[in-house]
Amino acid sequence: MAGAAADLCLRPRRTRELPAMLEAAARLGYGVVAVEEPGDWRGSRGEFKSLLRRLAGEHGVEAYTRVTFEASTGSQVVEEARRLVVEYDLVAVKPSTAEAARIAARDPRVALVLLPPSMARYMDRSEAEMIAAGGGAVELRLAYLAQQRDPRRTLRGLLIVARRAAAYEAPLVVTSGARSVWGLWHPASAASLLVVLGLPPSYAKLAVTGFPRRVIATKRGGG
Amino acid sequence: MLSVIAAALAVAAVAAAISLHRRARRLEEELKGVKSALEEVRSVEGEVRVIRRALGAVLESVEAEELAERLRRKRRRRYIAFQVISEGEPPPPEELEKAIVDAVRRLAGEVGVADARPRLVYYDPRTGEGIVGTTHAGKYLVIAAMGLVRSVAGRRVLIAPIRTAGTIRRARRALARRR
Repeated sequence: MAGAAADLCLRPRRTRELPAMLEAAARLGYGVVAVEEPGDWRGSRGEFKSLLRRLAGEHGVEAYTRVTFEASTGSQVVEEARRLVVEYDLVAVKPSTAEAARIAARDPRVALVLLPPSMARYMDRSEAEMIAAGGGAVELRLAYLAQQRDPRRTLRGLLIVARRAAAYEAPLVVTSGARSVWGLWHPASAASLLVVLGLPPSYAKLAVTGFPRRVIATKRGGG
Repeated sequence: MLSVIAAALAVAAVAAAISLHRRARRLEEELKGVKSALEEVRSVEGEVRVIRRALGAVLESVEAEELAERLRRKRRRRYIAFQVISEGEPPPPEELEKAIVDAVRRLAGEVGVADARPRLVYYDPRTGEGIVGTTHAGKYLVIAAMGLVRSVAGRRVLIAPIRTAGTIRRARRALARRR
């Protein structure tokens, strides 16, 4: 799996953690990463992209910029996606209502629909079909596990999203959502977790390799 | 004149009655045929039920036999070569093994731990390289649990699985190749 794996969500807290995270990602076997701007970044988006590409290139990793925004209405999804797709390579939506989830699934500019464990029930057949038809994917972020002392409740939500995505054949992308080196996941561990949640091993492997690469190929924005 | 009409009416009535009687006889015979067909269908249904029950019993015994065969079969072991990436020195082996077992327990409970039986069979505390033994069925669980281990003996760690092998020798070879 070395080099073929992709982690489409790194969220470094500070710019100075970025080189270590990229090095660690390369060491863990990732060939592709997508990174959100750190909170302390004060330069322009173009400058961040240049810095990211340079640092990632030093470790043999392809890097893309990404942004996640929360939306509660359909119009919010459309307006923000239209604005952000010009500036970032990948645009992800974290919907807080069923309406926003539906519009995000259908919007051709949205690459990833992030369903947190609390929103697992919004993942149904029609949602999955719309996402699959649009070329996007459902994002399953493993950072939610680290936020709980007892991961059982979080696991239940992740389990529902993962199983329904597999059942309705929607592309599923597993991301670490790492804020630092210590938040990264090895691709084999991430895929094995999906198998433990009940998914077939072949589908679990695609969630860390083929599906993320497909999202980048079809949804890369003009950022 | 009236008597002729009455006689004609009477003849017509008798003819109608005879025709109705004949139709009724015909319908009665048809009904007998339907009843016998229905009885035949019922008896066939009964036989199908018996056959289904017999098949069910046969399948159950086949499944039971397959399950018994699986339990009799020797349990296959798997060995997962891994590398610990840590903040500072790699953690000590006892703490590392405990952390992996605890992570398996968090994911799958005591039954999961008993079934997977994760054991540290080799570990080099200088390099952080090691091998965890588990069962064939438990390998995904142990590899997933490795991802949950983020801290051992107060140090932040990442456990990177390198390769899963059927023997300890192959797992050690994977570690050596990596060096």
